[in-house]
Amino acid sequence: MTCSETREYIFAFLDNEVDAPLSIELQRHLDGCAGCAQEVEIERTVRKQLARAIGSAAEDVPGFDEFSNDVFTSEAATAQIGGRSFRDRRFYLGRILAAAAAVVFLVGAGAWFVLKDHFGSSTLRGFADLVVADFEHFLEEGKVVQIESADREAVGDWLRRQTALAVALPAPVDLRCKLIGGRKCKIDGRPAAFAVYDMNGAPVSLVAIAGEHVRLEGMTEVRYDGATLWVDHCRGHTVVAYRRGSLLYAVVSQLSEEEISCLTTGAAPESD
Amino acid sequence: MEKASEEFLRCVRPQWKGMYHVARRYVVSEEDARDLVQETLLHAWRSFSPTEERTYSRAWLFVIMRSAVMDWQRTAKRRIKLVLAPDSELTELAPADLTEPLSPLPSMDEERFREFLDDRIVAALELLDSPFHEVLILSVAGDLNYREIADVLDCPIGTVMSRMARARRALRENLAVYARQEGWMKEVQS
Repeated sequence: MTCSETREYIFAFLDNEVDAPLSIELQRHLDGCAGCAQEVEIERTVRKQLARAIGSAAEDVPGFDEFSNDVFTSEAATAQIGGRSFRDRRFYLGRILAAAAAVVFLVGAGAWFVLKDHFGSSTLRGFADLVVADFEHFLEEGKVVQIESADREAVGDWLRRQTALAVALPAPVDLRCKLIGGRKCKIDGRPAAFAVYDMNGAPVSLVAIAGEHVRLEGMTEVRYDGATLWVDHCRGHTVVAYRRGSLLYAVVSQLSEEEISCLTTGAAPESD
Repeated sequence: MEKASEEFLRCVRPQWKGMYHVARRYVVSEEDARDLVQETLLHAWRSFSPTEERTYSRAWLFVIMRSAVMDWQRTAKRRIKLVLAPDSELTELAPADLTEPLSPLPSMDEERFREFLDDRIVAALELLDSPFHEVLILSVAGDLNYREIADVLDCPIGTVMSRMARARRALRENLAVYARQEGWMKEVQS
């Protein structure tokens, strides 16, 4: 291995990111080349000093418990993400409540289930209206997707990485329904995964948000093929919602419930 | 079966310091960094489900944090120190010759070299272009490996390797410029 070739891998070598055979070759070169060995030592020192300056230095790192407790209290959990600052007075009241909640949490094994039931559930009013508004916005924008692919796994992977939601795209049983792509968006301030399909020329969207404890108001609960669905109609659009795991999904289109039923297979108990 | 909250804390706690240090590099003030971490934790908790078949990797938390930074950037709610270009706007970076010799630095003993770096390394880092700056902070402050950084940035691992090499070279060049400007370069290390 030459000095020139060594320089190409010097940083990956220092970061332990080269495979074993290449690592052995590089080390062999360094053992016999004082110049390259010196460069490696310089870069090792540079990285160490950089870590001291911005990373592993322990000063001024706030305590983890201070933040983790706030996550589990209603004050922090219901504060609008991206909206109200945590520096307002309710945040400080929330910290006092968090300290009290932390004591209960540590003492009682069942305390969390009580708090979760009391603080974890929420009501999403006008859910149908929200997802229809997002769909209309998507159509007005010119149907811009961030990942364009008919591959369900590729789009699903991309959505999971981008939104940190455990999205499972259904496999439509109707061959007329084709996946176009996906994008990340927000529904009522919550991160959402959005996939769009083409059903014989008509666009159909599938939106997923975190919503294990979300109650839907104003939607009609129906049983269909062994699954529970919630249905509503809004501004000429059909909305069919269902739960899968911790997520709430909604299929939105101007087509009828029957025509978009191929995309609600995710609600079935034995889907996928 | 363990409670979801305990499982969540077990996933997040080991990444705590890394999260804080990375947040500190994304935004201007410490207060904003604390808010950023708080927002990240809340988003993470909302999307966390130990019953789902998935692995909650370290990258997951930093994906959420990065998404929050980009939101703040779009809405100008906080002062952002490291301005991120949306992936769709990143054009192909010009190829650089990674086999060229590195910029020479002044010859000095190790202790003096560390003092030289202490005073200048953060300034040298902050002069880097955003894509290079970011891979360095994710690696050094966040302690992520290249695969994890690729997941966070949603790019191929080869891109991470290339950016990392270019980032370190650029950092070295910035340090060499300081050394020249301040008259350190009496002898040049070969």
